[in-house]
Amino acid sequence: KLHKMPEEVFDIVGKLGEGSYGSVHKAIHKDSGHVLAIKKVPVDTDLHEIIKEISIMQQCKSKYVVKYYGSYFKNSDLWIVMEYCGAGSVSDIMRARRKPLNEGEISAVLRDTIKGLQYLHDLKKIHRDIKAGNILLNTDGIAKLADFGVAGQLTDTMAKRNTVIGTPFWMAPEVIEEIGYDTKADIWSLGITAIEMAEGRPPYSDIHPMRAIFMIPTKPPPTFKKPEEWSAEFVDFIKCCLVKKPDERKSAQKLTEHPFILAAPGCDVLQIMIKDASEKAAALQNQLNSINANDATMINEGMSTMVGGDATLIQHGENYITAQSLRSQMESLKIGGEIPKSALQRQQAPPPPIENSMNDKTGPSFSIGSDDTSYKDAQSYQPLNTEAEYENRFQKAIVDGDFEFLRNITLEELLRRKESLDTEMEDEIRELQRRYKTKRQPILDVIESKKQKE
Amino acid sequence: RTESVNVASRSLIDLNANLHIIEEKELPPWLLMYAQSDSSLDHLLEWDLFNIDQLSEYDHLMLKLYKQEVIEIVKKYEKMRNTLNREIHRRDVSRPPPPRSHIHF
Ligand SMILES: Nc1ncnc2c1ncn2[C@@H]1O[C@H](COP(=O)(O)OP(=O)(O)OP(=O)(O)O)[C@@H](O)[C@H]1O
Ligand SMILES: [Mg+2]
Repeated sequence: KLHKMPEEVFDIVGKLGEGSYGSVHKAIHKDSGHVLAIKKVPVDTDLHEIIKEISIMQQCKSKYVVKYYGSYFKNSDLWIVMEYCGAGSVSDIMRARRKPLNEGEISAVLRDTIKGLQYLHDLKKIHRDIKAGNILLNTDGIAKLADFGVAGQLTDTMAKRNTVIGTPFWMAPEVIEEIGYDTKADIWSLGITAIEMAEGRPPYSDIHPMRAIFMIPTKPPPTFKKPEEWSAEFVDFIKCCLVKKPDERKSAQKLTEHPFILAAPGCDVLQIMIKDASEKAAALQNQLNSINANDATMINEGMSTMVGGDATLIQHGENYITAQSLRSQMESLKIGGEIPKSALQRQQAPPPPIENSMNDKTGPSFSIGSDDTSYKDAQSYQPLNTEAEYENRFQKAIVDGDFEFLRNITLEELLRRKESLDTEMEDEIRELQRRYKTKRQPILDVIESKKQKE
Repeated sequence: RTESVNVASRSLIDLNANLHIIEEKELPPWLLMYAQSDSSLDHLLEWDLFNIDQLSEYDHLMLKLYKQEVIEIVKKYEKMRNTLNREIHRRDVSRPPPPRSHIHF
């Protein structure tokens, strides 16, 4: 029974949504008639971490954490079978109603979320991806934490592979700074999520994500755009979560006693909200259907976040396992289906050419490529003759911080320059990413080939 | 080409000063050199001589170094942005000046 192919066990009845690393489908368990959600994730990736997480997730039993039932391999997809939450995520609801939540709704969602976090934190588990998109609601109006474990792990692995820095808006300062973090990081993200539910977007989401990476640890904690529109209790709740020093931040346990949470209404408030959202979604769906007769079941567009999880999270003391033990572990974890070849037999990377033997850990002494001196002779006070020279000046200004020449250019030009800063910055970061990807590849290849030999 | 990272003056402690995610003492000088040198010489390094734990550690340091360099780039542009805003404001006071920064460059 355990090794049946997933399509013998489930009927896929519709698509629920799409995330950065896979799609989520509604499914019916044939034997029992239970409705379930299945996340399909393409895996050309390291299964070791994922499998470790699967066992962790299966142990989690809380009304406020999305239940995880098991997983299957189907071709090169990993199917993650989980509890179905009929009302979708809090961000789906905001999108359907075209408005953020009110204070009553927010406090009710937060109360459940905090209970879920308290459960995980008591087990010394960190969620690491708290945001409105990962808080799901069932039709009873209970909010549940989703994407804990496997999914987060996948995001991590993919991001790491591709030298990507994750979406920073919900990240605690200590996570960005890599100074080690614990369950308190989730509390920061919870505070950000509370603002997201109130304003529709997390703080800094109107600026480039890479700028936000810099702002979050260096600026004071974010607050509401219009603090006067919110109750003193809500403002204080945010303040308790958004404390920069993790030790001074309240725990989930402590937050359950916060006046804003104690005063939260029952799940009936969320049931009403869900009903409204599904009516709005249905109305919109009808409109869409009349335009495009062949459409998916739910509306889920845009807002899917740009990049993966935190690229640089450390997994200490990991035990790499062999293909053989991997297979037996998977069997013991009740995972059916075929293990994709790509996940087990990575193509053996050719060893780097041997030209210069490295005897110790000090490594070879490369000379760093010669400094680019082409900007050095550009001068600040000359009139700007050519386009090229002008570009030169600007580059020099950015590199050297010599901004004197700005006084010679027109206001329009200054404004145009300001507009293009993000694109220029992005280009430069992309080039850096490319370079680091190349530099990391030989290391990753050797790690991979060593793992195979073990 | 990318500016070399000034690793010498780093400290993790001061949250409100510069943002440093990597410390000099955790970074072997040769790895920094490798990260910043031209790729044409990369084949000279025989990564095979290290064990998996060492390699994972070096790879992790590379990721941190990457993140640090991203931050250096962002800082550079942030400075440029502030300067542009100041100059724009000087020309046209109806446009906002750069905010009082908490960032010390
Ligand atoms: N268990 C579930 N029950 C019902 N709907 C779900 C379930 N899990 C996910 N969904 C729906 O599928 C969508 C996509 O989920 P997914 O986790 O793949 O991406 P995400 O969380 O939106 O974004 P990201 O991948 O960037 O974290 C969700 O927004 C939600 O609408
Ligand atoms: Mg999700």
